Amino acid sequence: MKFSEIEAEQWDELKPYVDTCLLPITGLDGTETPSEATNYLEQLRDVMDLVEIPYRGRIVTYPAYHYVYGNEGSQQAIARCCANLKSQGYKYIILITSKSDIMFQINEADLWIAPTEDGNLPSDVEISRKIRELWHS
Amino acid sequence: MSNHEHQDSKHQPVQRKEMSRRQFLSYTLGGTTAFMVGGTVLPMVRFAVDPLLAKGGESTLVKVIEESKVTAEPQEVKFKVRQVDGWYKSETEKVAWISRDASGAIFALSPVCKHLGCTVFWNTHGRNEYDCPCHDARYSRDGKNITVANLPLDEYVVEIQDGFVYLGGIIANTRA
Ligand code: FES
Repeated sequence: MKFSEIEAEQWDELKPYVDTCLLPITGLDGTETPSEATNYLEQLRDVMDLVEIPYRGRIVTYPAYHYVYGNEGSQQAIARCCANLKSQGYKYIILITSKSDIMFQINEADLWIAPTEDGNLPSDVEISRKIRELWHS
Repeated sequence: MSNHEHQDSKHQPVQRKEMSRRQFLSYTLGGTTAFMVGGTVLPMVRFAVDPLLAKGGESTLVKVIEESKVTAEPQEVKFKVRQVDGWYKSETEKVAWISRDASGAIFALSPVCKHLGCTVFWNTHGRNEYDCPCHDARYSRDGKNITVANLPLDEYVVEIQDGFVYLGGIIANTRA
């Protein structure tokens, strides 16, 4: 479910069941035209649907990290965000992107969902397999 | 007709305002458009924008499979339903698990877990039950809740016409 769907007073009750956080990384850098930016967001939404809909009872989606400039600075910022999310109690962090060039190593995250090297988005079956493996690991 | 046009134009500023809010949220959330159906304004707008679509809704029947292909073993069928959310029309994919009971009657279950809404799947653990991957809820063939969830899986309205199975809106489970 989205972070914004959860009312403050529901959270204590839900928290034990929602142990996984989905952090979308849009991967824009400011060179995109409006329509290119829209395309990236739509692609990201399509791949997010494959996680959010089937697993909505256990995964909470946080607001997206939109802009990424080179790997190093962004890597640190995202790693820090993941560490903070974990310290507030999430057991698993899933990073998701529709861009193939921003998948850098984040030790604090447990899974990246990203296009394959040839640019194809992963299938629903593949995503489900990875998420289930993560929960059983 | 002129009355209708008048109504539409009267509502346009509301639509624009809602749309920009929606876009803002959508961008903030990472491109998710199916988000936050507005509270008090949208139902009115929905009617003003396209009254015909508003009537379609859940009760539309969709052809999903030949009747002869449905067996006692549940099968997953996917089908598209047109949805209207304010001015935004979209096609949503729905999933049903369809099978015959002991008397041969066809029924279709919704795979949305009644615990917290994950998607259940038939027989992932070899127990001939529906299993939820999130917190291990289990449901019988009829959708009856066995563990974790407090309610049985919902059903779709089923109609058989000319050798095909049609599915309609969601109803509470009638079998469990
Ligand atoms: S959502 Fe299915 S068991 Fe919790």
